[in-house]
Amino acid sequence: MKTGEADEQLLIEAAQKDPGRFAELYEANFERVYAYVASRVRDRDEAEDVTAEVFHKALAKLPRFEWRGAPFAAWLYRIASNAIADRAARAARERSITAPDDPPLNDPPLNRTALSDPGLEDIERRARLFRMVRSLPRDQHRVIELRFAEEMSIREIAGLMGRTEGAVKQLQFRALETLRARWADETGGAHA
Amino acid sequence: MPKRSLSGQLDAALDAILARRRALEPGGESAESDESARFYGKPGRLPEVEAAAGALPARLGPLAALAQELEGLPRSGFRRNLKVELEGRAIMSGTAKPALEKSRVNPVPEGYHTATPYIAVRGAARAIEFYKQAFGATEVTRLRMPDGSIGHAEIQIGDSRIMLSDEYPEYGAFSPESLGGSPVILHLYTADTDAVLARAAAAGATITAPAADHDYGERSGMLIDPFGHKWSVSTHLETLTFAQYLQRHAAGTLAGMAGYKPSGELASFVRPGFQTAGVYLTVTDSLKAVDFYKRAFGAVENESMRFVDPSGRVAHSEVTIGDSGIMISDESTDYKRFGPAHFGGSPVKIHLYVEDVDALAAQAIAAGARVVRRVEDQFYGERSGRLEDPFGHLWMISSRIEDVSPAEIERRAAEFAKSRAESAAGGAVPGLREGFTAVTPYLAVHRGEELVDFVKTVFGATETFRAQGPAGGTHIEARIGNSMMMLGIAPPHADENPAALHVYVDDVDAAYRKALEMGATSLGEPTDHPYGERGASVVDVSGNYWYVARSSRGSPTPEGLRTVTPYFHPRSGARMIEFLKRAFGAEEIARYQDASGAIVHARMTIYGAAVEMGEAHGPYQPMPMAIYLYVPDVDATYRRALDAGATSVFAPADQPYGDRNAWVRDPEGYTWYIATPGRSATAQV
Repeated sequence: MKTGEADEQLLIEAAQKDPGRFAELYEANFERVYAYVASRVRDRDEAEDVTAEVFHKALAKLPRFEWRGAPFAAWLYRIASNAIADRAARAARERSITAPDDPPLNDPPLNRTALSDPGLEDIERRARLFRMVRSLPRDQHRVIELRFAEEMSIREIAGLMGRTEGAVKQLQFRALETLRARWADETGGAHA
Repeated sequence: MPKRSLSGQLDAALDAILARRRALEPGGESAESDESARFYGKPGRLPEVEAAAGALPARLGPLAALAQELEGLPRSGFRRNLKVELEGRAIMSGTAKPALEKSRVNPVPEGYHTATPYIAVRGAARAIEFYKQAFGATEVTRLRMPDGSIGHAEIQIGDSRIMLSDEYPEYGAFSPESLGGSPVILHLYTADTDAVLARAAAAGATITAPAADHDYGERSGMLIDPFGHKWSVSTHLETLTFAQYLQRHAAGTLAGMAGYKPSGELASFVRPGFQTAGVYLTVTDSLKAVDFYKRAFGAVENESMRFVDPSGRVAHSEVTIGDSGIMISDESTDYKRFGPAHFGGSPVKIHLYVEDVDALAAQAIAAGARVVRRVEDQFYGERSGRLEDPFGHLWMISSRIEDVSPAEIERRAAEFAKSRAESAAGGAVPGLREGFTAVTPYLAVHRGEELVDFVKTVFGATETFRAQGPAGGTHIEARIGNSMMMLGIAPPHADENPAALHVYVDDVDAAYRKALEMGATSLGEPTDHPYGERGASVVDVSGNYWYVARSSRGSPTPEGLRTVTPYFHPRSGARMIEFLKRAFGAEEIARYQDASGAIVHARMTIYGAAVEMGEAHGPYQPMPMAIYLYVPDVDATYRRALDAGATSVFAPADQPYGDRNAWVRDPEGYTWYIATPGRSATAQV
């Protein structure tokens, strides 16, 4: 893992010198941040808004980021956690302004210590899975994306792809089988 | 019950998983359930899935579990768009700042406040004289452009600078006369309000509110100067606590104010925290604006000066940015105060000198500002950029990076104007044929000979090239003024590509008359437009739209512009602008929006060559117009165009006539022949 850390440090330094290189940090961390955010906010639109906010803030704050050995993702998670907390606070304030007679709110306390969050292993696993989806063969990728990200029905997907519903279900089945096989390969490799 | 296929059984299990997710969305019944399990339960723990999985063949169990983890998969469109957005902002925020590192120049020059009003005036030279007479201004600097207009000037009033320039509609600088007013009041503190109002009136201003004592501790009046800018002139009499103000305000009288004599020493006629000249911004929502200015520019609100009238309208609020006080209020029909959207822009920009312009740009963009010009080193020794806030006000942010003498600035300005003209003339794309720029409109019609006659007769075009194509078409090149255009005589079975073009002429009325004689239909008779052009429009017999114009300032064709500019009518201007930026690296030069946010007019450059647009309305609808676009690397541009949403018609290929070209259609349906100039000197069709 030492090489991974060194690579990451190089990427960060490059992006600090030239913000144009930020895209590489984005590519390396998008799925993590999204998975982290999506596990903590309610709907997809909000997850997208928060994810965008996190990367915009990260780009703005990058010149002041100091490498202290913790993974870059931990810094992003902290930005995300704060952004989510801010939103919750703002929403609570707006609610209390528009409906002053409401009973006091009982928002669940938000976890601000992302690093010790026991959910991070889950997040990492899910991020890897999301990345794996992107490497599926084109048609399989498309079906998984439409079904899970766009939340379309088999009928809608069939219409869009110009195939029968049976063919789309077959593609979906094959896509999940491909993912399962690759997942087993990868995690098997890691344990060996 | 018929036995279902494996893929069918799996799909039924996935339906159960996805249905559960939908139930958890807001409005779903269990929306308040345990947060961490909202998207992702542990595999196999969900009752619905367990039930479904229990009935599943062993082979499907792991797949259903995997599918559960795929809930909340990000949309790749979102992933891609966010990347593009970030790249845009990363480029905008610029690369390393060598100039800053090598020089020890104070980024905020001496003698300036953080905020300085930058006003656009029709007749800047006369305006400077007026401000001298009315307000006792002194002229500090003036940069004259080759056409005699004032590109930049600064005057000093009291402790403040005011920057001004002539209006340049083609570069997005509109005067109040062009916009029909202003969403910014220029606020001037003076020792003697009555005397200043009298002098201003004598010099030609219209007094809209005579001097009067106000319960907030100031004597003030309002005027509109001869150039359409609104001023509030004020003398600070006493600093009230908020409680004192409320008391006085509630009493509804000016008791104690009439014939006011300060008991203590009058420290200053300028209210503490303010400067002699400042800005008072009108916005649609002051509270949101204050919040934005805090996040974007590190503004601090003086909350005790926030006044909300009984209807909930914010009548007044104040923030401080750096050392400068800025006042803000909501729109009001009663007081005839409207925000930038009402006018389609603003003739007053707010110029901010800051320590680190790049950091501020990044912060403002993250807060939601729109980039108008990215931060770049400027020839006048500053590194600066231009932003538009969500309320339509324009901010120029700048750090001084080099001390440049006025003479040197003048020399560099001339050089800059020359290089801009060269770049517009195609210098940005190597290997272009003489007379061509990156952008050439390609009009293909069946009645091609008539079109050739039309452009010769109406615009004095000369035919420079003609060749027969293998499919029976004819390719013609013609020159109008300083611009080239391509004309195609399409064979009867081929589609036509009529165009809309903005053409500068010496005599609008004569061109209009000749066009009608050639069978064209009038869309608009010759008219003088408030933005300083006389214009007319016609449609020729082949359906080409011609917007004929003459500038009323200096030469008929404004300095640095081309005779012919393609004019698009996209359904969505924002989408078209985004496409041009992403696909071709286009730069936004000017944008003019109406109160509804529709883009009435915008101007972009692609490799230095201009295109213009106005959103589709009435007779001005999208047309299958074609542009021959010369770029340095056709393959790279082709890929970027597809990424930006274009559809490919032909992939890049070497053509027998020397160019390497590709053919795409953009999301608005416009056709782009993307080409890299070939080695041959003349096109061979």
